[in-house]
Amino acid sequence: MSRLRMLFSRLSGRGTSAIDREVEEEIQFHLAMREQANRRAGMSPEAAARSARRSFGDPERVRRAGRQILAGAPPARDGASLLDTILQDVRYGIRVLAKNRTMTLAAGLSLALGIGINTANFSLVYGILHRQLPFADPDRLLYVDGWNPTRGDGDGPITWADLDAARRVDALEGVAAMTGRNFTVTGGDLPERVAGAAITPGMFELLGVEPQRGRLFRAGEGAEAGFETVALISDGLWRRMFGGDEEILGQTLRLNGRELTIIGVMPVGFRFPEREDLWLPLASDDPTSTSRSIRAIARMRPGAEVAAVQHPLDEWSALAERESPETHRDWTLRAMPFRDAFIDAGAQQMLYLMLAAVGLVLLLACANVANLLLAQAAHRRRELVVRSALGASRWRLARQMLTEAVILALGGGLAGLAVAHVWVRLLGAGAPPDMAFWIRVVVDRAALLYALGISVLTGLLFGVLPALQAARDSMSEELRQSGRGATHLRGTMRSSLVVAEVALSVVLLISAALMVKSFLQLQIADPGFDDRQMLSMRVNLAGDRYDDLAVRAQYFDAAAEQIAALPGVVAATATGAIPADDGGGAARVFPTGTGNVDESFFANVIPSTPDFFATLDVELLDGRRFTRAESDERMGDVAIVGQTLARRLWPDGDAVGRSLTLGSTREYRVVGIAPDLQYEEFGEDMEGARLQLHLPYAVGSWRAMAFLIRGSGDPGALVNPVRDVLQRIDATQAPYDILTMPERRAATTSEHQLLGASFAAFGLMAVVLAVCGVYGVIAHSVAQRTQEIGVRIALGARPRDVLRQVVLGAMRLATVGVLFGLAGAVLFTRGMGGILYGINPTEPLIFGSVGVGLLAAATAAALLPARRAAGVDPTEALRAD
Amino acid sequence: MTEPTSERGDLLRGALEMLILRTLEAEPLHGYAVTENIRTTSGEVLEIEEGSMYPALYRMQKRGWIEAEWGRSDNNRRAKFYRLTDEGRRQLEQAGARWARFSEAVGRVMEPA
Repeated sequence: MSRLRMLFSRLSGRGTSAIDREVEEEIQFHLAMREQANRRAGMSPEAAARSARRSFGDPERVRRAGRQILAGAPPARDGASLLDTILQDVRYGIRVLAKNRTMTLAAGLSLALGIGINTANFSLVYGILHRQLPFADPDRLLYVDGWNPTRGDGDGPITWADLDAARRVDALEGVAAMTGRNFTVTGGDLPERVAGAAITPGMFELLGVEPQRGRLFRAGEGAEAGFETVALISDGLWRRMFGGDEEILGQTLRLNGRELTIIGVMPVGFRFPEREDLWLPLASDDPTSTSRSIRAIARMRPGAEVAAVQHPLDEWSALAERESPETHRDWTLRAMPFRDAFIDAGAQQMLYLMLAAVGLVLLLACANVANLLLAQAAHRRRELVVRSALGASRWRLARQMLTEAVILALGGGLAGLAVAHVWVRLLGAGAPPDMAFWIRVVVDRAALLYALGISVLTGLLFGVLPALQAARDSMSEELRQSGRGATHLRGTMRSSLVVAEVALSVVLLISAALMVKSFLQLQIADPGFDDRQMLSMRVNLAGDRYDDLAVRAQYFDAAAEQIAALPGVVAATATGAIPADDGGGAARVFPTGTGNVDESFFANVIPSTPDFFATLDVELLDGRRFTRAESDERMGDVAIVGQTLARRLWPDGDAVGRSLTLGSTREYRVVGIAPDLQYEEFGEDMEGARLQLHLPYAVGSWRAMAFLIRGSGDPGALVNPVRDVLQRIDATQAPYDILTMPERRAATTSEHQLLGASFAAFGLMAVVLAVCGVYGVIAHSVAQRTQEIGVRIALGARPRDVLRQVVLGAMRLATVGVLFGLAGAVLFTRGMGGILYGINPTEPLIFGSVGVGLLAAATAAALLPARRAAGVDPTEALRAD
Repeated sequence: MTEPTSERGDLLRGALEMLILRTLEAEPLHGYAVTENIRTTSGEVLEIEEGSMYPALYRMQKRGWIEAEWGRSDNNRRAKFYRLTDEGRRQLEQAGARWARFSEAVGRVMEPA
């Protein structure tokens, strides 16, 4: 029979290989032997054969096994594929997690927090530094401006000649220029200040942006400043001022007293270059003009590199410096990727610092969860040993633990998305209000991918320890619940985790303390005068009327006088720069007679109306203030120099009475020396800002000035009376940027506030996580050693000793953690140096108090379980197993 | 506790392999002899489906725990003989230890309270 079958299978072409033949031969041999044994036992030949076949079972199974196993298929134990086993692990893992609800919840919350804030910060960094700009082919866009290291903070506009040179660069396929303009738009109830820009026709084409309505500027439509006839408006302005009127094209706008026709509306959200709402065409009055007033945007040819652009620009800069030193000395042109022009190194540093901090918080959460899982593992040892005895390999068991960890992490990550949303919202609330329109911080697809990736990595990270432990456990010789061997090893793991947690919290807390202190320092930093009851606002005189210097002077003089006459006002002044916010104008100066124009250097020029120092309530160090007569004189020749400038001009002292030269020809006699005031924002310490030169307003006569008003009470209450005064003097001029000086200080330090608040939150999270971690480990260790403690108490140990031992154990761990943490903090805070204001990154007081504080917190966390340990009833303990 | 079906399979397979290894420890045998040996040594308690011997043998052969060689049986028929390798000996030791632990665990669970 069987031989026939063999023939049949061979005929049907199934399995003619050598292995199949061997397997077949083996089967036949076995059946023959069994048949023989049966016959010898007395069965008839047919019965023997039948019985043999029956006891053999299904030979097809053997043939199949032979083919599969010997002919190449790897010996899968269950015959199931890798995917199947992973799914098995997942199903099992979910069951296990669901059973231990409290642990899962605690772990899940920690993870949700850690992953959530990481995702939010990723969105922040990505949105600001990496998201693709909303222009066509944004990687090819460059920003071109001037750089002069001797002047102010270095960067400045370029000249029209520079623009021409840029246009000739081979590697660029297009260059357009722009300059910022602030406009007073009238037509509504009150004149409104609008931020705008004048752009050369072709700018928006360069960016690849099309209007949603109407058209862009045509070549040749560029007009002399003040003679523009057409304008483009933003979507926001269209809706705000014109109510989204369908018939917007062709309507007119009153700008600085002139009417312009609206020819187009730009797309929603477009406010190029940062927060501008209005665009006018720009052309040079005089192409050979030497005034520096524009900056440029350029597009590189496909495949070109920035270096290919920078090189010819450098050549031009060298040439220009040689040929026209009066306008180009120390100036170079620089080209950089568009985004870099708006996000400086300091901001980048802040962002990456935050990212590092949230990374630490996540590590802390991981350590906590690893601890929880290890504690859990103690209860699962029996399960692991049995599974191992049933044949599960160590790798399989470890993989099970890892799978559970990743599931937990993914769950936490999902919840973390909610946290991320909230955190992004909070970040948005604290963000500086003047962020560029192309910065979008949202939790979008990129953030989701990041959250997914981080969740998996996190799961693998904190799952490694329990996985290792599981592999070890399965080989454990001891099955008693309080088996000592594996527990000891596990205890070491958990202790190390606690040390790590304490260390991480120390780092985060110290960083937080430094950030908060830095922010507080900024709030109390001294600008050089008392600004608590001061109101400030800006006015930028617009309109032909104010072309005349005398008319401008008249406006500001009258305004200052009338404001000062208001009830509640002590003094008022108009000045060219608001202290602690602006720098002044930059101009070259040198001491007359003893110096010459080649040795001149940049100083900060601040023109003001006569009551400037009186309003600030600042006493001069030497000499006298300007008289009224000197202030009225258009071509006055007196100046008051700041302390540092005086020393720089005349190191031998005695500046009063001497003369300095501004530019190359204007001479001024020094009549007074003033103390240095804070110009530019706190924390942006520039040498140039400290060289201060005060001039009477009539000499400087700028259009854009600021009023500083000192009140006797709440400066906020003066806002409306002052506005009324200005309205009465000239209703077409709108004051803007109206803030009390304390409000202004808060606004200019908003980034530090954001950082400080964020870090404070991280520090708090760190402390909570670390304290929970310490508590958990000590509590568990006590529970594990209940028997041992019971024995000791029964043998005469006092509860007090037990308590002390537990607490000391905790303190030892915490101390090691604190030491590591302090060392780590020294390294970490090194990266904060540029951001901190007024404090040392390794301030010993902060380091010391955080170290001691965490030690105390850890000790306190250990007290509760220690008390429980001390209260162990020996008989109960010995009985429980 | 764990997925019953696959684990039960694991249990049986693991036990069977252990028995086969033990049987081959003394001397090389062919498949039929191994079956008979286990049957008689266990006091005829363990009745294993005879055919299921062979997949287990093939698996262990593939893993390198046993080696196979064609030879002549007692009654001069061609048969495939299996022999323990060093690795096989090692596996036998470990399996024995695990089994001992397992049976202890079961015993403790089943112990009268």
